[in-house]
Amino acid sequence: MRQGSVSGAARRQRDRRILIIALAVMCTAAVAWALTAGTSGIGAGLVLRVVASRVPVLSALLPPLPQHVEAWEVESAEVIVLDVRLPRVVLGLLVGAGLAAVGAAFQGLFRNPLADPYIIGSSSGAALGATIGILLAGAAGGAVAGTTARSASLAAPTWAVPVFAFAGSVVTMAFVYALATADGKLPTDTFLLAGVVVGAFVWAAVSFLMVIAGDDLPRVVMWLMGSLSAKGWSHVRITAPYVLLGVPALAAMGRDLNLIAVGEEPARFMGLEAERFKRCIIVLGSLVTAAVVASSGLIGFVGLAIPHIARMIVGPDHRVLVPVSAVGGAAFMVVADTLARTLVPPREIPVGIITAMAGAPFFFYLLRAGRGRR
Amino acid sequence: MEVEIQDVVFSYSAAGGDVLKGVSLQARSGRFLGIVGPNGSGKSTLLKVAGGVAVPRSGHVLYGGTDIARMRRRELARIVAAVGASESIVFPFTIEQVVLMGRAPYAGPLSGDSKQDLATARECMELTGVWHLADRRVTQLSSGEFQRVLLARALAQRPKVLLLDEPTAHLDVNFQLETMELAVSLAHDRGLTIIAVLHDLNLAGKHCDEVVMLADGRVAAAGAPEEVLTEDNLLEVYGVKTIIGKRPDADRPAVFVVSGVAAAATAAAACETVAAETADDGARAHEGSWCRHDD
Repeated sequence: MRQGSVSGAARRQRDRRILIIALAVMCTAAVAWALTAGTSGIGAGLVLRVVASRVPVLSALLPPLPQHVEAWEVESAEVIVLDVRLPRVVLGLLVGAGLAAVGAAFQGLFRNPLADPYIIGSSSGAALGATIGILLAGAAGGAVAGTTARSASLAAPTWAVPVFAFAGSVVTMAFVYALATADGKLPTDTFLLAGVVVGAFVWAAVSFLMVIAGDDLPRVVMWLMGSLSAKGWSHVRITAPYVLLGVPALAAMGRDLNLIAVGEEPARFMGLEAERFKRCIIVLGSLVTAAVVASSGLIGFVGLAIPHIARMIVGPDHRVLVPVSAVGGAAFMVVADTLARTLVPPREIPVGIITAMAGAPFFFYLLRAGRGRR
Repeated sequence: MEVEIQDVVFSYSAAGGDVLKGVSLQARSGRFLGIVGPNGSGKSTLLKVAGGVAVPRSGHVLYGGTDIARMRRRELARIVAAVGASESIVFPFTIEQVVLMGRAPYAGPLSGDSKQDLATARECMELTGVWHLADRRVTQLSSGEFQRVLLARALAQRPKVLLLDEPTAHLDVNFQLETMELAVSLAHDRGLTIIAVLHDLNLAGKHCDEVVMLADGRVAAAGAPEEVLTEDNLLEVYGVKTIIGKRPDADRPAVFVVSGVAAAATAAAACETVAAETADDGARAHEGSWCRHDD
């Protein structure tokens, strides 16, 4: 029931401030844990020191190094924290934010809570691209095998697979887009169907390549499972521009996402150029997804469930839902990835397994709890 | 604001037939125009064309003399708002959030809901009697409540023209009356131009200032309710026999449906003739009566 003249919207704006603080704390805690957790036993103080030494203002304020810490310890900590853990954490933030924000936007756009960033065929295209990239790299490596290990690594640079995956994803989605367009319009149902059909075809091609992959098969399978393992700054550089531009842009279109989430015709009556807006969201979402998938492989569940969980907490207003999903997805991804590399050391579990195994039961619990409340 | 529809032809696809085959009509400020006609006669389509969400193949829609084809959607949404007949909302927005969506054509790209937006939304919710539901989820409403939420949202657009597609479809008699009286007062007291598709001919007869009757994508009759809702027109357009009386409470036409489809009545008459002619032949007479039942 309503209380006096205090409007629900005003109360929501108050709640929003609390929420932003909670999310910031959550994210910071996740990052701090991810940077300090690991098998090399670097103390939290040293990690903090290494990170702070690279921040312009903080580095000047650093106290002198304690006597008992040797210089080589600092150097190895610098390598581990700055070149191994930090890029991985940053990539995790980008991947989680990108997938969850695109998932929230697509669910609104398609008026379908089952939509996720992969629904329009981006995952299959990326998989095909990556598989081709891995096989080509393998072939090139095989051709120079017997010379030196150095030339083999030159033949397969780290950016090859991400670039192939990105290209595969974009080309596939462009094809789906062209296939579904008729009379200059893009009917949502046709678009979803085209995505599923093209996806099935492309997956068949991936399966065929896997059959003939030979020795490269494990690498293909590992890629398909999705992982942030052994990802460096070069991967961050591929993904960052798209996520850092794309996610705020999606969040800024929250009001129009609300309109289209209600229906295309009502949205038009409320002043939205629905066709243009649809294209805009699809192109933007596709590019962000492609950039994310290119560097991390197929990480499921985040893009589907994080927006759901966020919607249960903050409601369906996309002006709030998209940014909250993005931050929540980022934190969730970093936590999941840290679990992936610390649960059974020295082995790494592909993070896609963690996201599904940890996320699904929690999601299920929320579904049940939510039903009881309403 | 005056709405003028000039010789509009519309089809949903190039291959399909024309749904509107040259419709012209005028709706004036402060008047409540009802559109009636059988299923499939093009009523809802005409409403979409009038609101600019369906683009006619030929013909024009003018608002105050300006062709809406030359207006931007956002601009148009400050002039015309609509309550559709088939809207459903999947996500659990609150009622207040739904009504605030009507403020979209006035909002800046990144701005939140202003105090004025909140005040307008509240006023519109009070007007349609849903303010007490403001914090409820839209997915939990009865269809009658939902209809009134959509009306509040349309009013939040502060339109000069309001398009209603069967505004009373899911409402009980009490809310039917309230909704129609609200629509009439919006027209008469606030000067809105109201165009409403109505199925209930008696509601149209009682509340509308003018009525347009569509048949198969064309205007079959237009004018005051008593000029349009006539026994001849209803027989020709709907194929039903009716008696038009006068409402006891107002100088307005009342429609009483007498018998079903006129074509069937004719066929039944023919069967009777056959049966009479072959009265001696029992088998044929039996066939005749079968014929009548089937039609």
